[in-house]
This record gives sequence, structure tokens and C-alpha cells, in this order.
Amino acid sequence: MKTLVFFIALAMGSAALAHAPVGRCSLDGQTVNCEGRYDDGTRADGVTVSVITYDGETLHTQVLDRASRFQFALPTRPFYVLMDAGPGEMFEMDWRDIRGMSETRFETEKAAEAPAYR
Amino acid sequence: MTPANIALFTTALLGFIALALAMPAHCRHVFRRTLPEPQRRLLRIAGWILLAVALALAVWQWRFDVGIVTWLGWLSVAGVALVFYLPNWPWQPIAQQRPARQRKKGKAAQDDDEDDEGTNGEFAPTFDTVPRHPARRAALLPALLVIPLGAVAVQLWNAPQKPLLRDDALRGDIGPWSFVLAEKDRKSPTIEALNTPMKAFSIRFCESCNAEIRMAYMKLRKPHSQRTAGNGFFGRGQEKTVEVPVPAAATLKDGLWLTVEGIDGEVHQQHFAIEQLSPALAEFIRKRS
Repeated sequence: MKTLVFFIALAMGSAALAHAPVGRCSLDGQTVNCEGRYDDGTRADGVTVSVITYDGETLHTQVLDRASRFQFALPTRPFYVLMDAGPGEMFEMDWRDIRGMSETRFETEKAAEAPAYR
Repeated sequence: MTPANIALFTTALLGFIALALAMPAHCRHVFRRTLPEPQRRLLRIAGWILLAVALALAVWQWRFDVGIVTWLGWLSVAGVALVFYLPNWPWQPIAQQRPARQRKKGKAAQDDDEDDEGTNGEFAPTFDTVPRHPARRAALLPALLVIPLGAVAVQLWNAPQKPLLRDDALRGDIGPWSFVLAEKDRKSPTIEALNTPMKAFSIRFCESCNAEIRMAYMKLRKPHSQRTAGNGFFGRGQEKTVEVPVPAAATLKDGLWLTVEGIDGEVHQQHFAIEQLSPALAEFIRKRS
């Protein structure tokens, strides 16, 4: 019995590891469509997602839906998307990481550099 | 991993069944007759080959150290299962009820040599008490010990060095705490879900520091705030590990950022050049852009 329990534990061991959230977004017209997952491919529905400008203003906050997706209107200022799955488990997508986004989109906005944090 | 366990158990069980059928007593128990010697020899060879295949499967799946332990574990399970199942085999020969034989003086020794049946009428197995090639067997036993030990030694020799003990591990101080930091391996990032590259790093703080540190984070690109300090270092013991996602538009200028938060609420941050901490990650970003 002990041998059996040992081998079951051995087989199930990987299931106990923690996983980090990951995501990707693409621009469709004036809408940004995003999808989130954990890095092992499992759905991350329920994880909080925020769209935050470089000066710290939160434009949207919502949770990933059952399909592990969310969408928001394209902001007019430089921003980043933050998936927050708990302490030490986050994923950040800058506007430059979004597929279909022009690298010069916010140039005229004179985007401020990310403020120094201590 | 579970299909590998099932395959290992099945192969081991088939191997034991073949070995059992190669023995006259078990063969009669199962088929009610003895197979000719050439067939039994084939079964014996097939049995050992199946056990060897099971070993190869275990070593391929779990390498030598864990593989041998797993193989021995499943051999035990398969062997015990077969031992407890054989007495319940439904088509075994019907035991003839015969009176116990009277041993005759002077013929007892001869009876022992000639009879392969027990005194209660059931078949009794015969054993080779003297090995046919004693010298060969004597040489084989040490070889059976030396081969796995040699394989484990080779594996240990080729095992990757612990990241924080490598020459390229970075030593430094952040706030009042000293640390050693290194990429977990010197390979390119692994590609995880949604085609996201992830790169692992290991850190160890000085022994007395751990009680003063709440959490350490790592991120590629400068954090906008403490909330976006990155993924946390986790793990048992002194050495902690983090998986850092590589953003789609990351450049070498973004750098790697270590943030350490003390239990007193003090937060300290440090920047590292990607090339300095992980040449493999730098190469990956350079190629992608």
C-alpha cells in the first residue's frame, strides 16, 4: 500500500506546483481584445485585470470571463494591462506588447517615461 | 507521467508472467501441461527482455536515480499481484487425492531425486540447487552491482551545476541584504502558454537576511509601482526561484529589475543588464527583434 501511495504521489506531484499568469492582447479597430491563462495552459477565469495609465490612473478593472478573455476600448494615453493573480503572481502587458499596435501611436502624446520607483 | 507508470507496470507484469510460464511447475498450473523446452527457453528470454524493457522505460522517463527506484517499485507490485493471483487461476489442474506414500527405507533419497510431485499429490517444483556455470554467475553478480552504480556516477558527473554555485552567479547587496543571483540554466527561455517565453532565475539571500525580508520580486522592464514589481521568488529553503515572462516587445534596454520588500515595509530596487545576468536571454531578445 505504501508503494502504491508513493507512486500515486509521484505521478500527481507536478499538479501541486504554482503557476504564473500569462496573457496576450491584440488591437481590433479601437478595441483591445485580451486573453489570459496560467503558464501551464489552464484557464485563468476570475483573475483581476486592470488597465492603468503610466501616471497611475486606473481606466478599467474587471475579471477574466469564463473563456478567460476580456476587452476594453483603446485608451488615448500610454497604458499597461495588469493581470493580478495574487501576491507575487502577476503579468504585465505594455501597450507596445499589443499585437497590431503601432510603435508610434502615443508619440504625439509625449508619453512620459515610467516614473522611477524608489 | 501516469501513462508511463501504467506501461511500466504492464511490461513488468508481462515479464513476470513469461518467466513464470517458463518454469515447469507454473506452466502445468496454468496450461495443465508442460511446454517443450525450446518454448520455455523462449519464454525465459522474453521474460528477461520485458523486465529489461521496463527498466529502460523507467530510466528514459525518470533518469537513472528515480528510474531504478520506480522500476523496483513496479516490479514489486507486479510480482506480488501475480503471486496472489496464480493460486486463484480458474483452470489450474485438479489436485488428485491420493493417500500419502509410505517412505521405504533406502529408497527415500532416490525418490527425492526422481519425483517432482509432493507426497500430497500436488505438483512440487524442482530446483537446480547447483548452478550450471558457477564461475559465470559469480562474475555476473558484481557486474549487476557495478553497472547501475557506474551509470549513477556518470549521471552525477553530467548533472548541471547548481545555478548559485556557478562562476557566472552574481553577488551583490540590495538595501541591507546581500544576495547571490543567477539564471536557473543557461538556455533560452522556455515557451509556455499563449506563446509566452519564460526565463527562470534563482536567488539566495544571506542566512540572517531571510527573517527581515517579506518578499523578493523580479521583472523584465522597470516596474511602474510596487504592485507591478514582478513575479515573486518562491521555494523551500534558502534558494528561491522565479519565472519571469519576457514581454513581446522587450528590448535589451528594458533590463531586469529586482525588488525586495522588507518586513518593515522598506522597498529596495536594483537594475541589472540582461546581458550580464543572462546572455542566453539577451541573445533570445536580440534575435527576436
